[in-house]
Amino acid sequence: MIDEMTKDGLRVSTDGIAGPYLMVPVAQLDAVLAVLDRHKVRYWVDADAISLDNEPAITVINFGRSGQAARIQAILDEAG
Amino acid sequence: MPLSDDIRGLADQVLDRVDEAREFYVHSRQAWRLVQQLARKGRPVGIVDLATKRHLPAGDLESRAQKYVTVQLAESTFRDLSSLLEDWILGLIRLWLTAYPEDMDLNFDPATGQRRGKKQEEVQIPLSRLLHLRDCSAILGGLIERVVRDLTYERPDRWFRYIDSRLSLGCPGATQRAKLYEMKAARDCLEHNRGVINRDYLNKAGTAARYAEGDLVQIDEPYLMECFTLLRDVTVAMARAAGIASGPKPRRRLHGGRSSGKPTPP
Repeated sequence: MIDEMTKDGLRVSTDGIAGPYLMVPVAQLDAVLAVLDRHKVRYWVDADAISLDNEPAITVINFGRSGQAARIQAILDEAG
Repeated sequence: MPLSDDIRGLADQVLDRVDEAREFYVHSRQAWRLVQQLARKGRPVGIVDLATKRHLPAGDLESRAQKYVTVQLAESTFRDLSSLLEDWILGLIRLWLTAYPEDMDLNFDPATGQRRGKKQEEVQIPLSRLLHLRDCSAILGGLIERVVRDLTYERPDRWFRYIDSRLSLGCPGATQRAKLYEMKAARDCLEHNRGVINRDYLNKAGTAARYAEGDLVQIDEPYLMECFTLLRDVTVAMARAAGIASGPKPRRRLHGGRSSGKPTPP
């Protein structure tokens, strides 16, 4: 999937302890969550979003400690 | 001050702290998310330690922010919540026993000044502590503190059994209790077992267990918010019921000839 703000592919970030996460524009949130739900990926989303310099607001999808970054990235890449 | 006012005061204090903890969590997360976005955008964000002159690179801040928000911040907030549950329940017991010290011994009959049956309630308190106290009310205060202190090390189901046998509040319900037991079990697991789920957690959490043995406790935001709501709802309901139970003339003995738990009309 493409990040509509940067026009790059959506990139799953990782932290060794916190687990993977994905920063995504709010406008794309529903579409991304639909893909994740289809693949039964577990996640939770921050309750709000941050907008910098009047740019579209960004929120964070958290996959937790048991999240599998490579699998999630593959799912998003496949979703086009 | 009437007991009902004391109970309301304690509940207000706990609720204020619950709200404060929630706001602190939300605002801290928002602040860290802002830093995270700045770092992700490559903005020249950096924190310099004046002693070591070490500069935290922006890239490092992005992943640190994720860890700080979803692990450290969430877990420390969750631990605080668990302490607030303890403060509320044990504080309520302390207030009740201070007003009705005879409730320390369920076998004591205030009408006769004798105990019912053979069973005796025992509270162990060092003699040196008793000798240090000067009058009866100070001794009772010492005994109450001892009872409350002993309960501190017990599981929440024991706290509720203690309350149920003295005040018939009719709350919290079984589902809420189960969630509170799980919450305390998860807190103990974080505190004493580095968050790794063990049998102790499974025993304490009972039917509300959220993990399998060997899993790591994860305090995600929806769960944390659910805990805030749960603690708030339980505190409000218990405070209301305890206020009624301790009202103008509602005093009833629950042990011995138990009443229905409804306050006696004035």
